[in-house]
Amino acid sequence: MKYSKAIQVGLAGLLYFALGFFILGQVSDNLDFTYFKMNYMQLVKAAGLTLALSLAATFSSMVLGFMLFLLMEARNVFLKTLASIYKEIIMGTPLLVLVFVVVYIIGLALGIRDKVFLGFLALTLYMSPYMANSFSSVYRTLDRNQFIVMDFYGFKAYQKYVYVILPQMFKPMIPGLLNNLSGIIKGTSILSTIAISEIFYTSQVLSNQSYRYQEGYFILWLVYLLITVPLSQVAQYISSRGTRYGN
Amino acid sequence: MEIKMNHVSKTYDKKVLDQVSLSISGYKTIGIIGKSGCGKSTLLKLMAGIEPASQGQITINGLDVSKEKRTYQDQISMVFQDHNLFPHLSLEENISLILEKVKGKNKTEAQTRAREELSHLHLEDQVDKKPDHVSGGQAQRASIARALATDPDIIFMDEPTAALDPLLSKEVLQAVLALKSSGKAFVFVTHELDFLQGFADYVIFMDQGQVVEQGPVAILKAPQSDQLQEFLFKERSIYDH
Repeated sequence: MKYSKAIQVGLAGLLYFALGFFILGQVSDNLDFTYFKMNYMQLVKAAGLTLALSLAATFSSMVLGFMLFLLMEARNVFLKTLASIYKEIIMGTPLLVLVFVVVYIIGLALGIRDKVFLGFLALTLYMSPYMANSFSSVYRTLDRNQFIVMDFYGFKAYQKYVYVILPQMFKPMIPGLLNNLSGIIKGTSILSTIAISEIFYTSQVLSNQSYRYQEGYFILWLVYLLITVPLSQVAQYISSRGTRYGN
Repeated sequence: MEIKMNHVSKTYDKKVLDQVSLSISGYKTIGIIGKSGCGKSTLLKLMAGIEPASQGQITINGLDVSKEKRTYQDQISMVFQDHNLFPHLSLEENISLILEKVKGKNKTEAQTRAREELSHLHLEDQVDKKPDHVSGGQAQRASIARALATDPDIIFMDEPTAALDPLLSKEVLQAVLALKSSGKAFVFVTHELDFLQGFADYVIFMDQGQVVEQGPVAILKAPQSDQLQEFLFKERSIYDH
């Protein structure tokens, strides 16, 4: 049984591989990766920047998302409204537009010129409502009776979060966080529009220099998959463990 | 224990408690009984200050339950229908967290007290287990230990065996019966007549959001109202079969 499953998984993988090579063969008779091999360090650096930017933006959007989540859960209508207006604006804005707004409007207004920082800021702002939603959906799964107990014994708001709510949210949050990280990694490609030398921008530059576009896109595609597929696998693994063993 | 309720009503979508007035003093264990949906759990929650009354005033041991809620709730405890323990903490931590972080005891003191109370409820072997890893009866006994640990004057219990099968119910009820000599006051909702007769010294019988009959536990032997007679008849016939 175990072997037959492995064979089937292997076959499915192979089918996609064959399909990929077939398509590549159709568009180019003579694939040549020499130029990319010669400049592989540039690609590695760019992939590193992509990953670093993504991790930093995941962390900062998590912090901002958590604050947004707290505002969303607040009893105060003013705070709740502040959060919902922010969410509507950001979720209604495409990332590409948000990047331009952050760089050419907010950046200019605040006198910030560092494009990597502005790109990071745009990603952070863009992902924060999604992070807030992740917090919210996990928060809703907590047993409400615990809140009655905490109110009854006189827990202060921060004690509720520090000792009871957050420790229970941590593990179920991980798959959602990894999915958001994967979303951010894919989102970094848009930063190429403001000339940040992440992986998308760098592979474009190398393609332009060598006129090897198919190879460039192929490498780009592989690099993204190399980062995002393992992440999604880890997320699935943690989710399945979560359902098997509870919290 | 002294309970005074003055025209207390509670309305959710419909009126659940209707102009309830009570004046009880000098009793230590008060049982509230009645059919499902008669408002007995609501009455208990209002007395414990868990929910506010829509109308009227409740004073228990001289404290206004809504106006002096924090002071009042610091002097009482509650055992819920379900154990309501925090699932990520061990039984001991469930108790010591409240003692240490909320009630301000030092860590060692909180842990020792938690272990003591769990031992009283015969859970000394389960202290490090999480609520999901013990039986429903053990978890409910742990929640009783939590209620005792804060050294309250009154313990409120809202059908503590409602979520348990008969065998586990018996185990929990025996544990509660053993607490009668603890000197604490209890107000509890139950549908277990044997337990009520063994534990309560005062009984409140409710029907359709109102207190129909009340008095020392002996009223169960000579019910005055038709509703209580019918209720007792039905409950006893369940046991007979």
